[in-house]
Amino acid sequence: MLIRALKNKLVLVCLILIGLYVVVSIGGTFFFQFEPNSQDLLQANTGPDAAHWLGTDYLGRDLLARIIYGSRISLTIAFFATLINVTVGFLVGSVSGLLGGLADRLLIGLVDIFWCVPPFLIVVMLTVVLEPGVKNIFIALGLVLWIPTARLIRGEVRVIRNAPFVKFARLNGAGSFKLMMRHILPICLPVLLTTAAFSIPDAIMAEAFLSIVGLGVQAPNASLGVLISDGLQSFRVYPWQWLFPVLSLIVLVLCFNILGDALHKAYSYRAKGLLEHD
Amino acid sequence: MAGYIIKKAAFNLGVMFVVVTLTFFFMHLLPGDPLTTRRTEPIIKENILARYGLDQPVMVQYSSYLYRLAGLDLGPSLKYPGRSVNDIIKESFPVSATVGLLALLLSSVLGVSLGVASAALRDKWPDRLVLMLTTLGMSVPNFALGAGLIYLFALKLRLLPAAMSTSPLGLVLPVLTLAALPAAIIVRLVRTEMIEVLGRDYIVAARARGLNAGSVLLRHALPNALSGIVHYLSPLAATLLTGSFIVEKIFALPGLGQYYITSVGNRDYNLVAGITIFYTFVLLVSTFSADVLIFLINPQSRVRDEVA
Repeated sequence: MLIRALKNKLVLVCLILIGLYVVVSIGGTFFFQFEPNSQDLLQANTGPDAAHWLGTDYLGRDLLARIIYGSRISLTIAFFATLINVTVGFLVGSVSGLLGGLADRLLIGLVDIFWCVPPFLIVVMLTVVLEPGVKNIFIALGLVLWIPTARLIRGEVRVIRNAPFVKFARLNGAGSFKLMMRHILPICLPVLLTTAAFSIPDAIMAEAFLSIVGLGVQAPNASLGVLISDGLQSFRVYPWQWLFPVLSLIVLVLCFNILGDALHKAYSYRAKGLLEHD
Repeated sequence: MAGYIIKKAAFNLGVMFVVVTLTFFFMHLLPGDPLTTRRTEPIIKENILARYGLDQPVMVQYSSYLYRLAGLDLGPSLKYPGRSVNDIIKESFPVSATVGLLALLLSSVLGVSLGVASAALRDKWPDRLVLMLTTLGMSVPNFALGAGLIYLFALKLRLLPAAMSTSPLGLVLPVLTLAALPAAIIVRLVRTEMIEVLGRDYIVAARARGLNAGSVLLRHALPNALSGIVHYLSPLAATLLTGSFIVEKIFALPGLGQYYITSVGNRDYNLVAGITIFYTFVLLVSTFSADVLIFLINPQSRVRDEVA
């Protein structure tokens, strides 16, 4: 599935860009000459030039260094939120799909109820209760994102629940947990991977939304969202302070979305192929 | 029919109850109270807390909150003395709703017409152009689009006002910003549905009988394609009506979203809870009416419901 997706050049470019983001955002601050939080008030609000490639902000902090550091925080939040999303979504979905009966009714009832509540309201509420910070933001995001995932996985599991290989495993004495990990998980892996690819940009955007609302990461830490939020204050005078963070966010989000689209397509081809062989 | 509506209504009431309960207890889980940020004499603080009933046990507060809510009273604002949450919603909702309604109108008209055109000219250059635009529309977030539009039209070209003004011209940029994403999504949905419908036998038959292409497209194919869109439109309508926080913030519109953001910052719990409940209510009402509408106009959904 991955290999098929990689055949597309655009997808390859996106993957390389994502890799670049990850490597630079992790390693960037080590070999880069400016610290993201070191202030130089004499250099405040300078436009892009040879010294500061992307200009500086209102405290004279180098914008490129801040974007690199901001991408790291945004990616960290997105990664862990996605991890929570996929794990909780898989567990709830597969337990619900496998067990059926009352447990299924209760779990899916819960999912249905939360499905009807606007997600950002839950996120805002959770971040208010948990106090904004990197950890609490990804917890809040993860706790909202898993809801559609659980439904998706439940659907998958209900289809394969009565497949011969599952029955056979059961006859051989596999318990529900082993069944889930050894047999259900590999089948659901493509779906989970696609979900993850879409969940990361969702989380990045949600984090930006929270920052603009004023519930973002606390200073001196700054995510891409915080940089954009700061940029929104000053873009009428210093447009670059808004433009560069926004561009880096859009490129990152676009890359993950294209990757997700490609995975989804490759996966549905595979599903089609399976049906034809039956 | 009646059974179906009652079942749906009961479920929505259940959701509403869960949301009310969760919001209430969330707000009371928070450390401190709305007065923690102010220096207040203990006796004054006690009096204020007593005035708002905040000195009562949580369960008593909860039941009185529910009791008031049954009378559609969302309680007083804790930050703006003398104003109730109802007043604030009454004042700010029309602003959000105006922008939202216009955006809804614009995005549906634009979305459906471009979607139909795109499906009719499938894989030709207009279709590709439209698809490219939708991809762009879906990946440019509204905080980028809004600020970009202000920069271009208000600061550089000086054509339109950047923030809410008394003239209707001030609505142009916020409506455009708000409509871009839903328009892109509707184009995609309509295009997919139309392509699917255009492949069906009855369309081929209609064409074979020599009906003109335009009427096949608009009279025969479009209604069938649209029934799939209603499901998407109803939550969208609620989202747009209640206003986008970001758009209201960027364009300084005194709408519901603005109040929500400031109330979160102010820790004005009653207002946060009130707007949350109001928002969920609007959403549920619109999905509920869409469900009923679909049930009434599309016989297939009834069959599907019985099978499931």
